[in-house]
Amino acid sequence: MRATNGRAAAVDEVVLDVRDLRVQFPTRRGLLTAVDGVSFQVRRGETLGLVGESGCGKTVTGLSILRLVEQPGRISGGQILFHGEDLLAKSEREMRRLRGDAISMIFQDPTVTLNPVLRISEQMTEVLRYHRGMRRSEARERCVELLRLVGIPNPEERLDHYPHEFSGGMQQRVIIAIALALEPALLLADEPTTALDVTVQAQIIDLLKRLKRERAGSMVLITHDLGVVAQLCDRVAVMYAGSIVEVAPLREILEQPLHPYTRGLLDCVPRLDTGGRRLRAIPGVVPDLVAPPRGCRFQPRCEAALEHCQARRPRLVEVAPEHFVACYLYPQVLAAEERSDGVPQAVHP
Amino acid sequence: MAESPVAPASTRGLPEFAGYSVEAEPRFAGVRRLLGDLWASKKGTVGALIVLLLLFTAAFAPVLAPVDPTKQSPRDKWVPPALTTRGSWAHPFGTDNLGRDVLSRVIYGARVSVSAGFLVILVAATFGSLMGALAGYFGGLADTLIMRLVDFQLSFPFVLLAIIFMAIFGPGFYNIVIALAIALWVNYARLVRGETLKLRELEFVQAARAIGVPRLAIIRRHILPNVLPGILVLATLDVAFVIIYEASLSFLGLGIQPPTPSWGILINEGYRYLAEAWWMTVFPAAAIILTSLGINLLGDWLRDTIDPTLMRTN
Repeated sequence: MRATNGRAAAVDEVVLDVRDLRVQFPTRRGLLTAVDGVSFQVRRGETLGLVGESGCGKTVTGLSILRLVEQPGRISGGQILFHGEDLLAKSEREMRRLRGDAISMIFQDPTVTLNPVLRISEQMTEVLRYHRGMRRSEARERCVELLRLVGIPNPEERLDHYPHEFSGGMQQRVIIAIALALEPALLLADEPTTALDVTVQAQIIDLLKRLKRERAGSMVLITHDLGVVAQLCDRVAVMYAGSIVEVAPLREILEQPLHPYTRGLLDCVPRLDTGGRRLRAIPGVVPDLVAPPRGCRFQPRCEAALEHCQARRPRLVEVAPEHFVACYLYPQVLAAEERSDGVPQAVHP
Repeated sequence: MAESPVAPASTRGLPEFAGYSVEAEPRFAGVRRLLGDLWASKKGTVGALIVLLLLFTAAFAPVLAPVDPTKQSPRDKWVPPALTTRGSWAHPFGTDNLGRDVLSRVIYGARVSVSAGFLVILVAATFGSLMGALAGYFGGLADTLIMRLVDFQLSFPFVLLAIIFMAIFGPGFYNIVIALAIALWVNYARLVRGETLKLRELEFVQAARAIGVPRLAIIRRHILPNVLPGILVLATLDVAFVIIYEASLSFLGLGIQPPTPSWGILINEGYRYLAEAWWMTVFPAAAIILTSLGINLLGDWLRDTIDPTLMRTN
């Protein structure tokens, strides 16, 4: 398996194929649909950015892939194909074999992701021992290698330390090392830099960039930070209120965003290249997912909303090569809808 | 990372200590560090000395006791302790109503009380913690079954429960251990369940699941070590309780049988003569107080030390 750079990969082999995923949480007020018909693909060697505001369902999507959605939350529909096999059909035991091995995850806040009462060595060797049955000394050697890989000085010595003896950035490096220990085909990174200082953020991003160049695996980067996306991702999926509204290669998202929400997001970010443009906030608030707005979820906040936007919910349609958008401003979306009318739809009103 | 030559002994886990613990003998280095800490803490040192004294007394009772604790001598009954008006150094703690040497009886009593105390807590804490962790982590049916059992048991007065048990199985040392363990495991189950409910939501538990650690291993490696400080505190308090409970049962004739001296039996024999021979009650009572003080001091120190999250604050 040669380290390839995302789109340059000769074969666009699909590693992860999420189809119409739906995750629901019963609440006192009713059923909350946190993820509502999300579909996307991740190809080998590619980094996909999953972008959106807090509460849009991106973290829940990430957790669903590992089937770690906590009770009473429930994956109530869809398929998650990993190398062609549906993860939702697997037994808990089979899932456990995959977690940390073929698929692993990095969490948001490194200061709470490590167990405070276990030494780093004990937490790092865990993954090697449970999945590979390595002996203690063998696992230890591998851990030293891994710590060196993620740029921790004096790894032999540091292994015997407790998490609180590390800075936040160093803890995140340790967590990344654990996640990469078995060279997973897919790495899920949930806001890996959000809880860190800006300078440390830059270091972690550099580390992830370097690992991306050196490793063959794919990555899903879950974040609200478009700056991070711009530095690391090959393709971007924009999420809003539980569904994906636009998917496109990084360049296109940044230069020709199609969905009004994507444009709104980009307008919220200060940029150096467009002169003294004022930053604009998106008016309104994120919708209530227990009782979402009719039709398009973004329609109440959308400046360009049409009448049809309230009637139905647009589906994701490829309007330009590799560029998918779910918005009626694009005639292809409406056309696709008319073509499939009469056929039972996967998308819900 | 630099060497800090003025670091006090209590700066645990700093690099200069960790440096020793590479590969060859990490366990040994850990023990050394722990002893260093113990010495640096006043309450830890005092507690450890008392507990050591207690264990030493219990272990070497036959050597330490000046006379046979069951030897009666009616002529010498109610001799007051040394340093009092009629006292003599022949019986430093005096003698009881049957002329038995109180010091020897207190020394032998340490055996019964200590072994009952530690054994009961060991059984109750192990079983209770395991049940609590299972109930808390798995929830659902396991939780319902275990916690209803706990509720059911808590609705019974403890003494009644113990009386029923001892009445069925008869008096004796191991039966009293079992009866007390049955009475006490619920405290640990409730404590550990509550903590587990809190811990299982924490990110590091989720992270452990995300790397495929089996569920029982998560309980063993990630949940229980985090609850251990709480268990230890409860256990140290309970050791003292067990000694008293054992005394209560012995008093009711359901525990240790009289010729064997336990501190509880000594007190219960003595309190009837409190006006005439205070020493029969006061010395075993002092032994209980000293023991629980020592165990509590040690437990307190242990809690501070064993929980690395508390280390940051001192």
